[in-house]
Amino acid sequence: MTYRLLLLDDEPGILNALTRVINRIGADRLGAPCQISAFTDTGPALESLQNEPYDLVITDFRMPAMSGLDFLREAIQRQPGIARIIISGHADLPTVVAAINDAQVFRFVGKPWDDNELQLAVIQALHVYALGRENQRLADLVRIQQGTISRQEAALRELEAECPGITRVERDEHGAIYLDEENL
Amino acid sequence: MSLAAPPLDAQVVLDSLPLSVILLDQEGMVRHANAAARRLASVINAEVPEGLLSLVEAPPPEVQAKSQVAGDGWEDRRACALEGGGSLGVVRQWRRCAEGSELTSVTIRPASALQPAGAIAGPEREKQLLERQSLVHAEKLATVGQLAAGMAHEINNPICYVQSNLGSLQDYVNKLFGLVEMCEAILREEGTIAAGKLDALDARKQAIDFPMIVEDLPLLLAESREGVERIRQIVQNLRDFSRIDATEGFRLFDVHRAIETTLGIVRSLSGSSIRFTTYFEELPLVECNPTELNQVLMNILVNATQAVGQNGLIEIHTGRGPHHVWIEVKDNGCGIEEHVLPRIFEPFFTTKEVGRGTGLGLSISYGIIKKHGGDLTVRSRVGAGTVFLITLPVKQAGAL
Repeated sequence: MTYRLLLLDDEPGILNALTRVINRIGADRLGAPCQISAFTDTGPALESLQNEPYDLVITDFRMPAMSGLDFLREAIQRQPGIARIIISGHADLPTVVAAINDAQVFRFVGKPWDDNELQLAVIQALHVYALGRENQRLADLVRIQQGTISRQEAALRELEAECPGITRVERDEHGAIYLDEENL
Repeated sequence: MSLAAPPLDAQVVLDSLPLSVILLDQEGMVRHANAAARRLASVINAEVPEGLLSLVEAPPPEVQAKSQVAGDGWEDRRACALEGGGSLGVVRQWRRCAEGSELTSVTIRPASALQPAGAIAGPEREKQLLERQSLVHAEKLATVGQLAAGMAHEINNPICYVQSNLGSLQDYVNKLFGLVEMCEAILREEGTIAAGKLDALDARKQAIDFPMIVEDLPLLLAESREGVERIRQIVQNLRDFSRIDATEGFRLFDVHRAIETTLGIVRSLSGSSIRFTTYFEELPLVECNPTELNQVLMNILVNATQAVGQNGLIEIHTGRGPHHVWIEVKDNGCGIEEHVLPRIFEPFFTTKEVGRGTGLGLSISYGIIKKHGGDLTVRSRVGAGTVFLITLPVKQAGAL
């Protein structure tokens, strides 16, 4: 398994620095290697989101064509399960509120960021969202299994309704099936 | 010829002169003083020896001999004590009025070439100059204030990645040091090198992703240097712009450089939603005050960025005539309404909301361009955009 990250910032210098910080985390701390795709423009980034599955998207807030928030809204539409982190130089209250309420970001990281803090945020985001996805998978599995069981139950209940007691088998102490002649 | 005061017409002419003119008779008595001289006399402290009387006191003969000017006159310099304290340096020129005339004229002008000749009333003039200068500076600082947010963003970005890159660099260097130590240990070992050790070295190299570091390290350094250079450039631009440099005089300057400096700052203000295009023709160096020219460009460009919305387009064209150059700043913004247009160069006239503009920007710009002997004009259509045209003479009048 490989984690897939999408980075978006209009500044190539920032993208490269972020890539270095995330690469330094190491597969041992992350649990799996990660593959980073970096974009300076929102257009190609959205196109990539359309075609490739990602685990985490990290975006700048202030960009020329589209704000980070709008980008995340678009991203959620394409991949609802994706983890989201915003990096922003100006963290005024309305921005942060919108990021939490609208885009439900996992973390809001200030600029300049602290490398350790950012690495931790990435690790946690990937783990939390991996857990969430695993949870989802298991729940689905359970639902399917429960579905199977309840189909059997439903069939049994139908039989029972037609011939009450048919699903209950009575045996004597030697294991022989006991039939009540009166009920036949 | 009589020794009476000059006829009325002559007096009117004399009074209209910006120079102080005093007419003396043979005995050195004052026969007439024109309006400027009377104004001067009113601010001279008559109590002290260097005061009023010294204005018309003839210099000693040796000075007269040494400082001959054209014709039979002489020139000297003298400091006059002023009523309000301080002193005013003046240049006096003595000249016989006409061949055979008994009248001598003394013309007096301030010694400082920076002050216009008419403005002899020292303290008031100085106060006026100071006030004007502080107004100009206040306006300049207000513009810088508007720029601050954009500027912070612009500086913050390179700081971010340089700082983060330094962290990565530290990580790389630590790994490389570890490798060096390992190599050293192997080299210092007695006898032949055990194969196991070399394998361990290879394993370590693989663990730290040695080829990646080798590839990335030069890039990291280059990017960080570029980031620091960008910060330096921004700070330099800001300093060029906000410097109080009223004393900086006219000098030959590259107009395109002024435009680039100012654009550098304005770009950071406006984010990247506005496109700036420059169309430069080859221009001669222009005799101007570069700081003031920057300020004019800044005012016009900031206005332009505020007038255009998203998808703004600001074009700067330059060109030249036989004795002048022109700079045209064109935007596709909201335009200026017709009834407002005649008022935009008025001081304190602004259509911006409180706190966004002082209303002085364009009036100061206009003053600066006029002082340069140039012209600042505007064309605008509501909804279509605005064009400001700056014309500047290549050479200042009076300069060679």
